Amino acid sequence: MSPLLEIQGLRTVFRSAGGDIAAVDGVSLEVPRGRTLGIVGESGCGKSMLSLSVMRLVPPPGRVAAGRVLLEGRDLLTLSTSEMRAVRGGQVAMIFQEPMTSLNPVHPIGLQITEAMRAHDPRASTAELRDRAIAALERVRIPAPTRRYDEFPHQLSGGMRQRVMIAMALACKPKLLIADEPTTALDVTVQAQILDLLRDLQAETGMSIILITHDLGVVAEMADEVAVMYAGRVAERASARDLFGSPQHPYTLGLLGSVPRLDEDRDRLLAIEGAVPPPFALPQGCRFNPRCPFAIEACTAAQPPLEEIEPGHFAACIRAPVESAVELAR
Amino acid sequence: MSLLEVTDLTKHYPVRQGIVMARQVGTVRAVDGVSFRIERGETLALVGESGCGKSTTARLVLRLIEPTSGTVRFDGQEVSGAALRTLRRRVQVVFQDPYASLNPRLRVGETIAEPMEVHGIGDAKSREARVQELLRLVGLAPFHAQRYPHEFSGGQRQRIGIARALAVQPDLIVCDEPVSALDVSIQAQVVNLLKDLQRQFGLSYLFIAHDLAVVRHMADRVAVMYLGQIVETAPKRDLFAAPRHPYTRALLRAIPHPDPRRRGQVTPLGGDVPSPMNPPSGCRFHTRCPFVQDICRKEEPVLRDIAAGTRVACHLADTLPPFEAEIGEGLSAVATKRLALYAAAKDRRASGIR
Repeated sequence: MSPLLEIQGLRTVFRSAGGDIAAVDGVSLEVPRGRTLGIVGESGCGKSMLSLSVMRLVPPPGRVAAGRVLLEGRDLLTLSTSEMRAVRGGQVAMIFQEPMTSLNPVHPIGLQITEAMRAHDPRASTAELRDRAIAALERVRIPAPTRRYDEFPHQLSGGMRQRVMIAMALACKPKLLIADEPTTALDVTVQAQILDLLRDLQAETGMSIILITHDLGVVAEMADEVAVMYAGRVAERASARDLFGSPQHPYTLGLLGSVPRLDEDRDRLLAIEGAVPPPFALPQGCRFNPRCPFAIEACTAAQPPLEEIEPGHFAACIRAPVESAVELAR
Repeated sequence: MSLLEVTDLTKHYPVRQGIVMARQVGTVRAVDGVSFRIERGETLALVGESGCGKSTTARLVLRLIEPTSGTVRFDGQEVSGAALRTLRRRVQVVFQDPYASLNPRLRVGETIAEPMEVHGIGDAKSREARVQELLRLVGLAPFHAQRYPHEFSGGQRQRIGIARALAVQPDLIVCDEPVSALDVSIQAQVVNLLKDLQRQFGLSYLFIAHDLAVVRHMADRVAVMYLGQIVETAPKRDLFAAPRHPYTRALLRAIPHPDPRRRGQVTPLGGDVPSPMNPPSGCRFHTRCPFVQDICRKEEPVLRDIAAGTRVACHLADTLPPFEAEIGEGLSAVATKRLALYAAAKDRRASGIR
């Protein structure tokens, strides 16, 4: 079966005095139907800009300069503004990190949910929309939804607000939900509730999810496929099992070594030296080479292509797998 | 004698209503009877979710706010009046947000030298030499003293904050979520630095955090807080292997592991944290506790010794089923091998051999 979403050679740039700066630089990804693609990376790796590009919500002066975003074969980048508006919230919905700033503080939450519904179904009666909104609140397991319908965002806890955001996002039964760090601002116990809810809703509706996060634990818990991004490009892409079982890219190794684990005692964490380069000062060749302990001359010469190292497992590193690189040096 | 001894600390905030005829309508019990000790060279982690009072406790220890009641003894002396001056030098703090905790108008050198000026340590020349030394200690370069905070990344700013804390040679550093605003790769750098400095100078840390994996890596002992009270305190190893309090167990079960083979082991805890203005009767956790009994709703459990070094505030601590620690398999053999290669290659680079 063809994937629900195919991103091909996507390039998102920001205009600056010194020429175009690419925040997303040649990214190709697929989101299978009914599955979850996790996108992992640190701040500045382009993961949020990628999702905004899919939604065509890149803030000016940024723009998508090249590539295709195919939703069931239809290129979203070629749609008219009104066609795109029907896609947003209709077939593709998005939730963000900060549920407080995503909700309007001066309107009751019920009104905000029905507003989205009305935009996609202008002929529905107010009473009908109210019933549907209450059902949506019930679906995200908000207790006493009829009472909550008339409450304001400040009356809800952080976890409840994120539930409201999810209820809004799912109101029009999207095929794809883009969740950009949906649990980062929440406590662990609340995070566990929200992840649980997302998983149940996916099983119920068969929607696909793009889950953007910096937390390797959340990815391991939720994602079927994982893409690791670094400085605007995909460094490694594999199924979750393969990525954690046989990590290939040195950046992925560095990330895995940086995370303290609950099931392992280590005296020192294996930190990655240095910091992510900003998009206007990228190094020559492989973008990870200044921080990579395996870097050689050739790594500074050209950007490594994303190559299939094991079946279905891609990495953009000429030194992968690293054990062969080390043996060669001996 | 413990370096720091906190006894029955409380901080209540009155809630008033009305403008002209303001009257008190309630009390927020932010910290409600907290006691703990920190030994020399030890790290005590204070963990809990937002609103549990862990940051308020840190501020009370630092005397940035006055307690409603209770005492803080530092190095045997009760902190008040003249003793406060000593405390101000010997206890330093590293804050969570490296963007908000440095003065943007001061050069980094001035920021690091300021605590020494305040406490009248050294002259201008010796302070300058000390700043250079401190910058090297935290992994920055001497020329960074001339720069302003905006020229640094988040991780580097946190290093500057640590250098400032070290400037007056403190015995105890209160670290209030020092790495939670940083990216994972940078977080690891800062955690390693804090551990190195502790070994080098015999520092004690009061480490406030919500990330239990980081706590497991940093702490010697852990105190878990819920709604303004400590519900469990234990040596790190015991707390993670055999947590006694249902809340500690729930926290541990809520953390997703970076291992897809362990998917589905996360068990969410139901409900929300109740309001600290109107905490539940009896045990404060009873509204969310899966083991709740009648006694839990009526009687408030006291923090009692249950095993060597372990104290728990739970009526049922002795009768709870043992915690099935779902011990993972750790990293796969291939991943472990590659991480070892990574570490070896990194060490070779660091020592200048290619």
